[in-house]
Amino acid sequence: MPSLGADMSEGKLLGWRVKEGDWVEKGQILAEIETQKAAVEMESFKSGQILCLRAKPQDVLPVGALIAEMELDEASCSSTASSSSSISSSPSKSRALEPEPEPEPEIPQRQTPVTPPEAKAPRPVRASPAAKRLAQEKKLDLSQIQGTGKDGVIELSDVERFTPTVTAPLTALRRKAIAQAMSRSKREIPHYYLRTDVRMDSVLKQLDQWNENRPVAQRILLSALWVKAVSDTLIAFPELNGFYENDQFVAQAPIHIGIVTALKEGGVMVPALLDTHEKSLVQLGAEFNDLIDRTRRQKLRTHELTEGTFTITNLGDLGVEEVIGVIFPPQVAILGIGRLHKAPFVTGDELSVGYRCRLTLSGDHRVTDGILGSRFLRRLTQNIERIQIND
Amino acid sequence: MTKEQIQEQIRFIFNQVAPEINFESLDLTRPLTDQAEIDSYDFLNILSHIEQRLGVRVPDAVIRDLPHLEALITYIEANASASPKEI
Repeated sequence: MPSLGADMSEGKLLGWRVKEGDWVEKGQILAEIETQKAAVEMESFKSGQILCLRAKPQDVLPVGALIAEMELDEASCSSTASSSSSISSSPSKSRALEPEPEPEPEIPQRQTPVTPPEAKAPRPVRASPAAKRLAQEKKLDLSQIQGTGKDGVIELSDVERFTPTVTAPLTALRRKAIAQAMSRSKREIPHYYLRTDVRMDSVLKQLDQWNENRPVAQRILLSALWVKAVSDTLIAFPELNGFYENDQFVAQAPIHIGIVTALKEGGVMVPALLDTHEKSLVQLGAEFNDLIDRTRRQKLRTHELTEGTFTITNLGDLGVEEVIGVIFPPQVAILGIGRLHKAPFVTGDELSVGYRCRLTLSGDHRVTDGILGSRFLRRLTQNIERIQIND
Repeated sequence: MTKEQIQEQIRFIFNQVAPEINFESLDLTRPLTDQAEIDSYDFLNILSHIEQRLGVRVPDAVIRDLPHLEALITYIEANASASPKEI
């Protein structure tokens, strides 16, 4: 059972996506696991053959418990794995600039960047015509159903027996998980707060021009643009991109931006867009939309929930002018973004009206101070105002 | 396309994208954000459905300054094709 967060002590196996004897590839989804916060898809860290499935669906097991056995193939064994997160010990994810070795997990998780949505091949689904008809009538997703027919074909009886995972409303357990994380943050992290206003007219004009002649589904949202600007700025401010653990700060080389995302049933999740510093705005735009979609359908991958190095909370759509964020430990900063609205600006003696957005940086005073935070906000403001949108 | 037809299409789209919002209870002449929680991602989906079903691509700049859904319906009416998809 993998650890998917500092406050996770156990998880429930919702179902297997593989069978004993299956050959699996690196990155292939092995199972679906439910935690206090979400249902996530667990990936395989390496290629190999599934020997034995020890845990059964609906089993609740502690972090680190053996859930399956797998024989790794030779190529997989000989490859040098990047420093991986342990599935039996806690948190995310302290992947230092000089990684520390960690014990080999039973079912290792792969920590790799998310490929752009258009590059992924859909999981092939084979089902009998009767099974397809019934699944359509019941509005079931065939990819969720394990087939028991020859070569894994989904048969009618498989669909009849299938009980879809129901996303439960925000339960007391989930609220407790949020409460624990936020209480820990306020208890342990001496926050400081800085605020600045950004004039958005020039960047909106660019964004409008870019989106104007493209299908709506390919538009870049302003939120994705913020991710790009923040990511570019963090390259110059590594003190804000990392983890504070065991009384020390460790900066992280990759930049993984967590996005506070509201769930329809209440509560929030904070999935991360990975390696944002290496991606173009266009790529980030597509990945942002995909991430939000999968978050709401609870189809996230484990590493998307555990690897965030910095977080953005944007409540502008809900009308608030200012968001003073609470840092998610073990991260050391969070950026709040308020609503986009028309406001007066004074330049010299001239008064004009333009679009304004308020940014608030919450920083961990054990790691940084207001001077560095101010420089970050100033650079971020410059980056967003000068951002170039191109292929 | 008439305004009533457009409104019916938008009602259908809302039920697909944001079923948690009771479209019938919305006042189309008041700002949507005053009546329902809908974020930019959901609205992108709504606009995408409008483009596919009604053949109207609503620019970001237009959306940003739209005061309410009635104004959106008026915009679509002025730019829509003659044959919307059947619901």
